[in-house]
Amino acid sequence: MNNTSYKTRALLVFLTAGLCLISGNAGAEIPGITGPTFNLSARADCIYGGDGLGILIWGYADGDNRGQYPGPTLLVAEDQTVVINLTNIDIPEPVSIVFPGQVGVQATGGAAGVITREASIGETVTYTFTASEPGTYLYNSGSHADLQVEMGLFGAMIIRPAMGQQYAYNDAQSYFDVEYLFLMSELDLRIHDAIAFGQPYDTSTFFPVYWFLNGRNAPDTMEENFVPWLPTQPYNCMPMMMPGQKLLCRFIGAGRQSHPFHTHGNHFAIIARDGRLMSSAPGSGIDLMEKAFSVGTAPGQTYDAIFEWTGEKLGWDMYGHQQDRDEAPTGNFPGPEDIDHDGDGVFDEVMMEMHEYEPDHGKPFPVDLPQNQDLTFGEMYNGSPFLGGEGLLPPGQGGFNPMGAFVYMWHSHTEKELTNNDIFPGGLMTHLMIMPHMMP
Amino acid sequence: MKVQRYKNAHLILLSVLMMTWPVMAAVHVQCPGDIDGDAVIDVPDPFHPSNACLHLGAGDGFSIMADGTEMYTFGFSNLTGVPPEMAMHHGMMAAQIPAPTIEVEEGDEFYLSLTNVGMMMRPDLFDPHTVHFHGFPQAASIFDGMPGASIAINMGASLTYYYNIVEPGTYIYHCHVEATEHMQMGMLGNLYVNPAQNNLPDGTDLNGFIHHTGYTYAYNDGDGTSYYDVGYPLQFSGFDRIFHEKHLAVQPLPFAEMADTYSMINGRGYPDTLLPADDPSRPYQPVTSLIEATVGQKILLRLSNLSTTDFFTIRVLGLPMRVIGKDAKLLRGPTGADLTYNTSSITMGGGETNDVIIDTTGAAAGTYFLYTTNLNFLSNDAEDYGGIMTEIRLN
Amino acid sequence: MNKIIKRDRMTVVWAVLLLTLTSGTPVVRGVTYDLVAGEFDTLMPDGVTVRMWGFGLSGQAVTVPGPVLTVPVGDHNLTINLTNNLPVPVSLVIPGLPSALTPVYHQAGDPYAGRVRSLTAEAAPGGGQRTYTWTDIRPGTFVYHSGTQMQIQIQMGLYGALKHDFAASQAYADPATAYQTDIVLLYSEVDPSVHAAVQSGEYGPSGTITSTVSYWPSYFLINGESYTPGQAPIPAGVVGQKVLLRFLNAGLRTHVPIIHNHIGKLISEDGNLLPFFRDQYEVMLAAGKTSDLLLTPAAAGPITVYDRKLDLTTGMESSGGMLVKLDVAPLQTQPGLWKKPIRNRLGRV
Repeated sequence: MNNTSYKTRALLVFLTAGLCLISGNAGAEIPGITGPTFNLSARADCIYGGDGLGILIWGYADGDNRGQYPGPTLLVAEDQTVVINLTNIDIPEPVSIVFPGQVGVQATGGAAGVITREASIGETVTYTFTASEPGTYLYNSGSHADLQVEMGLFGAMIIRPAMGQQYAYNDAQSYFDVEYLFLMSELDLRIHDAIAFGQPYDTSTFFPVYWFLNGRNAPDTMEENFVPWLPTQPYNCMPMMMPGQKLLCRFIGAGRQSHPFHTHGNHFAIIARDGRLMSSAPGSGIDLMEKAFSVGTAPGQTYDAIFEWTGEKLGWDMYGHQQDRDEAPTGNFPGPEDIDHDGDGVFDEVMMEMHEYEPDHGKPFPVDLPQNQDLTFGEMYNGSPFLGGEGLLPPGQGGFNPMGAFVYMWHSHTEKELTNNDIFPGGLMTHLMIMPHMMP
Repeated sequence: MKVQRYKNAHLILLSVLMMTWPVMAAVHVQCPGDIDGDAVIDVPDPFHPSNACLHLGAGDGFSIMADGTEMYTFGFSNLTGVPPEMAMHHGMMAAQIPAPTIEVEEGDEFYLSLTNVGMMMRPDLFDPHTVHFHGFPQAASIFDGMPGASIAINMGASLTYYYNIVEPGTYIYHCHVEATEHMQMGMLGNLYVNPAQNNLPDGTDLNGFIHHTGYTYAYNDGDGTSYYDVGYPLQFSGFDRIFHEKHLAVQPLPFAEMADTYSMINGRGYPDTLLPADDPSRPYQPVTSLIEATVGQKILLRLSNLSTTDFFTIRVLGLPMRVIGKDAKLLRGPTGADLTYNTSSITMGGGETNDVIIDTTGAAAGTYFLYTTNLNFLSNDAEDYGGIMTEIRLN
Repeated sequence: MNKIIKRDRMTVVWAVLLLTLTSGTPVVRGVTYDLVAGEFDTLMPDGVTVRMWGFGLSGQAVTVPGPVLTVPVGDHNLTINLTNNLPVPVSLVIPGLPSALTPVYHQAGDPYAGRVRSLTAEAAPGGGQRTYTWTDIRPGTFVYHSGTQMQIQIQMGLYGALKHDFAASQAYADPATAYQTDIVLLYSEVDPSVHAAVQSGEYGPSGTITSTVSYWPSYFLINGESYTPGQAPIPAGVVGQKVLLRFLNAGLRTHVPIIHNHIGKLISEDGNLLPFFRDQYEVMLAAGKTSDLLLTPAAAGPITVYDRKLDLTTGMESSGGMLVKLDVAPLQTQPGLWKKPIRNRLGRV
């Protein structure tokens, strides 16, 4: 079962992504609003599911702007005194914010709720704390949270360490080249419809049909940030990197379900949980770091992980250097004359790529690929198994990956969540693009 | 045998399918050293001294649930050793649940040929298939099996994947085409890589742990942490009865309503989990989950979850669990910190693997239990006393 | 009590004695609890009455959860004499404590013939008794629960907490696990439709509900209670002193308690000391799991612990479910609390 519109959207996405990378370091920085003082409002608005359906939400907003799903990503520097003023514009019940991981948050204004102080329509409540621990955090409503989190009142907060913008924590091993947010949430359409039409609802029967990364369903996850046709879902989730780079993933479980997030391509190293370094003691570095290819992000948890990829030890030259040889390969499984590690003058003329794994240099591609008519081509396949390569494809097939990137699906491995309200594919899914290094 | 009746359908459907195949399509196994195309090495190739080959078929079939219900499935079958001209015949309606277990050795060059034998019961479908070697480190997208980023094989043809096996551990594999559907339908299997440490010379001192020939480990631990006497892969998954029924009835598939009702270990619900391997009553579910050991032995459980809908928490009652690996990595920090830990339950989402060692030293002989603490899954759909449960029998 | 059951009990006693004598070890010392399994009706805060099965100490009311059982410091053996007043067989297991099992299987002729009914020996229905013993109990927090038809009996309420400390006010061998106050927080769920079916005899092969596959809880309990606004907080010691939160999940689903405004140290899992403590504001409390979290409140006042899975409802009503308030006393008002045991909301130490 194929979804043609998905393919068309993917075309746009990958073309745009590719072009952006040429023009600059797109997506390397997580968009958000900068503190330490934030004037947030809570208001009703509308988002679009990956199938185009408009859905009522309650969202946090930056001042007088529209409500967002998720709320604005709050960017804070370590040791700042953070002040968050929250005004309830039109949510018909008291709203609030809780900040898991922050200690000693002071709340003033509004009225006392079960967990924290909260604001009814027209009221403002203020939360103050010191951003003492750098890291990745979640914020969400602490009022009637089984409904209000479902309705969209959540967001991410990033506290940047004193060590610098390219570090996740005050530890040299937390260095990254590019960073992306992976905020996971779900949506039970019945509850939103009930709120929209003033009907009764029961949050204990929670049964979501949409799953989101940074507030978007695939394939919208791969659109640009701030595209005008998703005015209340400004954040994309389109990780891109080059071999040898360090990509920081900031995982957040913002909904009510646990999601086993799986990265194709390689393991990642988990460096922090709940905004605390995986460290046995101060000064020990990240000595409790774990490598994994999946992280079961539970509601309320955050994880930071560093993903690296060089394609080492594939056993063949992924840059296709063997293609530059004078003579054609003698077959699928070449004889010794075709494997030339000693440098007979042929391979030596082929420059090593940055971060290339030297022992694989020049090793031939190990198998014959089937004839084109025996294959179904992915829309992001460009006809070549090589990074930065390009090959002939039948008309209308593949080719939406002009840079010859290696593309890997990153997704919830609860595969049901790769759907948008009964339509596959979609949901809690995006792709990592590993781009070839550009020759100057 | 119930399943047998569908075999008659093969021949009719086969002839229909044959007409739709492209002219060039053919079963084509690639395996250095294999002369006759059956993925069995006939004359070792001196340039590929340690290669391993496997030929999988991808198609459909039927499995029998523990309550006796017959369930339409997609799955893989093992065609290794089958002459290429017979591969389609052997592969059709032979979907195994779980897929044939893949066990390879660190250092292997692994050539995995996948032949799409078509879906006999759904002649309206022309789905391609892939193999996703889930967790393969430093993967290249061409062999990753993710159809959007690379290629998938059409009916009647073969695609050979190449994996340079350099990292030992517990992985999994599955088809990634229309992943929600194909995985719900059963295209899931156990896959693990044995470490080079198994092959050390007798008497090698591993930091005080003396290795002997025949000793087995889960990882290259350097100290015997992952030593085990008997090992069992246990893969947790589930089927949504309605999804499978609608699939067979060529109805729109209920993605939003998907909820697994048969929870299983290695493709069987309790008490079928206890049936021996290759039990004739379950011809397409050959993997047993009955764990047998002798008191004093160490049992390695290679746990994985490939449910498309649920996390599972897995418990062993009466015996201690020590978690030594996760996601095909020994639990050890970058500076050597020992991150292994004792527990009596472990939680896994889809796509996660864990290695657990049960040290039976000092335990009484007898029967112990492994089951999910998500107790509502101790059921086979509407039947009680089923689902994710098996026994550990100590002699 | 009939003769057959008495004989059962005597067999166990003799077996224990025999084992003790043959192994040449000193006579097994240890704490003994007499537990009764029985049923009662409970009124949920939304006015719905639900049939529950629970445990109680002999001579006391049967409750959900059952009483907190303590194996005293220095003692490593536990004996539980179970009297079963329920209409079905019941047994007792303690996950995490190694023990031999004597499973009971459905007999020929039963629709589930050959399948295990009880993971260990049963106390017969209608007053039957059975004695269970555990030796070499290690320090930790554990759930005890029925090992019979667990998919039904656990959700009916047959569970409770067991704790055993390494030393007085020290949970594990590591001195860093010392505490001044400990609080048991036992999470569980109720699917009232299953309870009603069990009560009316409609659960089973020929009943209206034949398996637990459609489990859908609508009551979410901590220590047997769904939160109600204004509920009295649990005393949590004095500001600056260590509180050990013993989280246990006897429910069938994962819950994620969050300690509002605080960071704790996760020190154990299933009664096993973690090799490295972790600073966390949440506990991923999977079904059946226990975890101990050490907390040092920096300020007096209430601490809210709420389920981030957001099971914060009572039936269809909001502001309920798995939320609990702890109360940290200011230092000056309670100077004598040092090392004095504090009773939790259930009135147990």
